[in-house]
Amino acid sequence: MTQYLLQISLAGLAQGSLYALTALGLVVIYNASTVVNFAHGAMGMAATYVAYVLISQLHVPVPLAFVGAIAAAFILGAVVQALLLERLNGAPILTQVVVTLGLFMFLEGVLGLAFGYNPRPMAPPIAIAPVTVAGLVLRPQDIVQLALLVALGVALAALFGATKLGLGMRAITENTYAARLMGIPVGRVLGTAWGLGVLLAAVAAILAAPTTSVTPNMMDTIVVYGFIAAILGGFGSLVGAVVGGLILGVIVNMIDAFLAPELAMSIVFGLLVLVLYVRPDGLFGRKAVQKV
Amino acid sequence: MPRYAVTVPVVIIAAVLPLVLQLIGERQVYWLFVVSEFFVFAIVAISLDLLMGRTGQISLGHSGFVAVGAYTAAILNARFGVDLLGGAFAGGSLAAIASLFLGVPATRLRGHYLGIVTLGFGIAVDQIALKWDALTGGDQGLHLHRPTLLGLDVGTPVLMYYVALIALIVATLLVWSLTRTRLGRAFAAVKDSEIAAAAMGVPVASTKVVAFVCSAFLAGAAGGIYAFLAGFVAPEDFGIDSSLLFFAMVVIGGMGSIPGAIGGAIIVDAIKNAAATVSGLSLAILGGMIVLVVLFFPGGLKALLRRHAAKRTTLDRTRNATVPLDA
Repeated sequence: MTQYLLQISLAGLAQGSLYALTALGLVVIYNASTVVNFAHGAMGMAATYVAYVLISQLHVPVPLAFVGAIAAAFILGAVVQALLLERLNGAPILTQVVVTLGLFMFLEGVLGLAFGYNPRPMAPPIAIAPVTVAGLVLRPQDIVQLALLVALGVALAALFGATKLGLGMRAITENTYAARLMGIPVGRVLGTAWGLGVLLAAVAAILAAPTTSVTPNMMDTIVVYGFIAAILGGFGSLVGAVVGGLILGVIVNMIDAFLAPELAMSIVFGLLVLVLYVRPDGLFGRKAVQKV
Repeated sequence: MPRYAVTVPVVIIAAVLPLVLQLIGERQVYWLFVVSEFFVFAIVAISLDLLMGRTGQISLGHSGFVAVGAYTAAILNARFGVDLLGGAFAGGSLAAIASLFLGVPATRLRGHYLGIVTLGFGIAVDQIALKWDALTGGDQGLHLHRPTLLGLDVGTPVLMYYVALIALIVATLLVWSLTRTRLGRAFAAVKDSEIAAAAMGVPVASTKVVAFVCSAFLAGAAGGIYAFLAGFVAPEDFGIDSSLLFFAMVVIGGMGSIPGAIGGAIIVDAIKNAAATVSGLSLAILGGMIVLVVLFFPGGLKALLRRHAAKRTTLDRTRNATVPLDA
């Protein structure tokens, strides 16, 4: 039984690393621009289609195709920031939510028009057989996912904590106007933050693609869990997003194994509402102060 | 231009439409159903506008309320033979109770969180309807008896058309009156600034809960009517996709306006029906429209029409300038 529980938790951590990567991207964007990007999953999905076209139609080598897709994701993020969000600077939260939702619908619809809704296969990038360690089955891809999560998480923490770019992002969150006066190139910093955030979504989507297949709605479930992970982590905390994603992955896998997989998302949302009752700012969040 | 100069002809056209369809004779039943369905969707759009446009609270799971109402009406009708009025009322009431599940967290959640929690509500209702098949029929759905209203048989397409039309008129009048009460002004105050509203003595938390309850009641009642109109309910009618459609109706129509919500419902419903055969097309068009509306026409259809009207009479311009919240 313990063995079984450990195995489920392990698979949960691997699945959770996808939620955590998605949540990290959401948090990076939120931290710089205070916008929750509802088009996050769709943008990651669009980048996965870039990888898919490069691999299966243009026969580009797989690693190169991934680099291309991730670069495309960065550009997509920066362009969306410059074309859409820049114009909505200072608009109410509702307006910003509305525009990212419109973008989500648009991207899913356009890719559905271009490629149809039939799932398209994507070969796993690492085709090594699972190994057994102390009775636990370890999939190489899971280990790569977790390692990637840790590496990207540390890199982001360093970026926010120790670079001028990260300092600029934090300054813009604090007060955009003052940041501009201090000579921070606000547009460029925000574009970079959006690019990085969408890049993280693309990493999650490409990692998920071998199991979900490439479809216009491949990220729908993952991005909803990504939102929940970010909320659990306090929306704004990088550590919170990672821990929230990993915990969520384990919980979802436990529900799948012991309760009802069809109700997984309903149960998770019930839990989320409970958590928000007890801790309205998530597990790692600082208390939000409303300014006049 | 006085308000009734538009409203009266629109109502008259809607009232004689079945006769016109009768004269044309071509696919009459189909078109009656399409327009009746639109009336019901317009009620949902008005209810969502009450929440989003008037009170500033986002809901991305509004079809969850519609589903609760539709299933309540269907189950009561199939098992106990409850009629249309009872079904719609019970559906609205149960949806209102379900909304407390969202409205109470809403008092503690701001903008983004609320969007995500309501999204989850919509998904959860869908999943539960599929899973709890002993009650809902699961993916097989649930059939209703021929609709009756207060002992009268209203099971023909023409009669159901008038039922839906009257329901839309009643919903419009209810919301219109509501916005002119103390409560309606409290909604507007919460939307503009929660801090200012609280400072003026508006109980912000309970006002939000009441907005959720009112909106959910209307959406649930519309769901109940929809169940009788379609004669059948199944989970796929109430997924995330339909929540996004209702959302698009409100945004495209222009938030905070009943004519806007109805106009948005016409546009979105027409695009949905016209583009139904090509998967992805309606989603792409509506998503693109939402983005364009937010960037270039922040007031939506409502503001476009009003700008047009204002060009014609200076009187309207001054009225619009002084009473921006007036619908």
